[in-house]
Amino acid sequence: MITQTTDKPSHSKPVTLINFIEVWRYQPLPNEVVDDGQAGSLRLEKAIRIDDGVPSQIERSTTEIAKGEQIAGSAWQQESPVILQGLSSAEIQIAAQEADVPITAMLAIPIYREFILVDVIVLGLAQGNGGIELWTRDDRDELGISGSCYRGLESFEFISRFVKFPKGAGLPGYSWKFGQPRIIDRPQTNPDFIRSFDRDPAHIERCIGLPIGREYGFPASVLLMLSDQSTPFANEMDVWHCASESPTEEHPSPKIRFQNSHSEVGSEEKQKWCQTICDQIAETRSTVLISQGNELPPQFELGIAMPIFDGQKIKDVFIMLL
Amino acid sequence: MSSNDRRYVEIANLTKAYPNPFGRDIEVVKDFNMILHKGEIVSVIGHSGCGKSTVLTMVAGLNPISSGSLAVEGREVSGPGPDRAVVFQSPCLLPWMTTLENVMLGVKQVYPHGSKKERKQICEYYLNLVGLGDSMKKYPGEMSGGMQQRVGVARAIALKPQMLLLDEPFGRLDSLTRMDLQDVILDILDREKITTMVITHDVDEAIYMADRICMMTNGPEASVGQILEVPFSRPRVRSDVLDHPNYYDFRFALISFLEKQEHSKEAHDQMIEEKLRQPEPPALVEAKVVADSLPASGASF
Repeated sequence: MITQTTDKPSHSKPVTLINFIEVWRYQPLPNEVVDDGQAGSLRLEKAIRIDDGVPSQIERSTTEIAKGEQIAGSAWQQESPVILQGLSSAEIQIAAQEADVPITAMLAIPIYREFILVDVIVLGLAQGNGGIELWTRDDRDELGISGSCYRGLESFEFISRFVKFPKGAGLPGYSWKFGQPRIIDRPQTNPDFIRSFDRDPAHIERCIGLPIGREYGFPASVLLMLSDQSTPFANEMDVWHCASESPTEEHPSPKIRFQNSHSEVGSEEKQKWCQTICDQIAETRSTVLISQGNELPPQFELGIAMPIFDGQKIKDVFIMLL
Repeated sequence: MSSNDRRYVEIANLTKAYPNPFGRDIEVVKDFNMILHKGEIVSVIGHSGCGKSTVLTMVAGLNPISSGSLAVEGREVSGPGPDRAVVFQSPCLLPWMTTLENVMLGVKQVYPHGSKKERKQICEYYLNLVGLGDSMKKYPGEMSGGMQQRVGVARAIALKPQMLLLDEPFGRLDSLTRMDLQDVILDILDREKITTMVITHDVDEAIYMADRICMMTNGPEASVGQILEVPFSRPRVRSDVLDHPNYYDFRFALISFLEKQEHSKEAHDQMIEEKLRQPEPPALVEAKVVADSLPASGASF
């Protein structure tokens, strides 16, 4: 069943690659004394389809899953993002059918607070150029690709299979070393993005590195999203960095200051909205997904903000506006 | 064999800084990370002056490190040793000694208990290996640059090193001699399985010789930009490598990296210059003056 939540037109913004979003929240067992983040289940918080830039809430046939079930449960089980692609995937077919939008690939991103799962965000991707890469540590303490999905990036895909990044090198190495998300604009000319897209038809305009999970004091993996000019993942992406002591459950503090660590901060309204969302995340300590037009800054129809923890503390907030 | 057993060289956060009388120390190489497996050949490529040779001389133990760690076969490098042989761009042979005598110099140090005959056999074996079987009695002045470099290679390998460090060994040779000597060295490395680091400017040489190519960013504060694994099997035949359908993909990846580094050089240099202009943190004696000039408590500066 589809419930229309907004009727605002999409104007001249490009159609985003993301056309389906789900947020699954970890639910501990009701009588669990010590929650180890393993025995509970994932409950669907919200599922949204985006058709021609217009989001609408949808109802899914399954709203609670166990570890290992569906793409969200797989991400929980593997403690790592999961990428599914190809129209032959049953899960993609079901999601596309229930959302009534064409989905060609799906990405599940688990969010951890220390070692406890908080949420799993599932993104469905439409047809269009761009790429997703999952970088994980190998036996040389270097990052190599362990999962990927590319569109319009054939040469880039080929060479990336042979590329490794030590700690601190390139965008994956940066997010791995510092445990921070990072956005690189115009990667083709930016020296901080090492690889080249020269030979490919896709026009990658923005790359995002997201640290995922925690292992031996560093992120367990780094997720890269390569956003194309004509089919971006989102219309705007921001990283907000916690500039003051983030609260823990034991020591809640109302005074948290987030600062945008990206150069293009956008309108004042957008900045205020982002600050409000960061405050909300600091309070709820979980992902926020908003599809009500009147709760978003002008020009946007949907916003998703995910916390990135360092142990128990929120270190950064990654925001996508569609 | 576990993955850690295969690690032969472990370089972690390696930094080399030189004092700068006008400000902060100049960090030529900063946070360089790399692991070499036993028997692996790694090319290090980057623009002139980026710090490639600095890394090599630190691995050789000829240049002390400023910070980080550098271990060969699980032992921290504290100086040069016969386990690591170096071949420089110029072989620097002793002109008053014959080819054989030049090679014998090092062999005497490494095999002090061997008989004179045994040591001579070792020298002859390696000189034969580099194609100088007929030139053992020649003096450096009687040989071409390529032949002299072959002596340099034989001199290094005759020490039976565990690791070979080649610092632009073909830089002064014409292209035909260069290709010939590349094949000679690859043939020896395939037989002896010596862990090798080759510094080069030449992308084709890097691809042809190496299992992995380490691309260095511009210096100062040079580091590893990325590492490219070369999937071509060994022993390598030049024509097969050049005809490989993906050869030019690898070549393009290296060239585009170097081009990007070149384009960013100006911005990088400016950033470093500004950084170097920043004064050193004040010493204790100056602390009072600094404290007096601070704004009132609570104000930011």
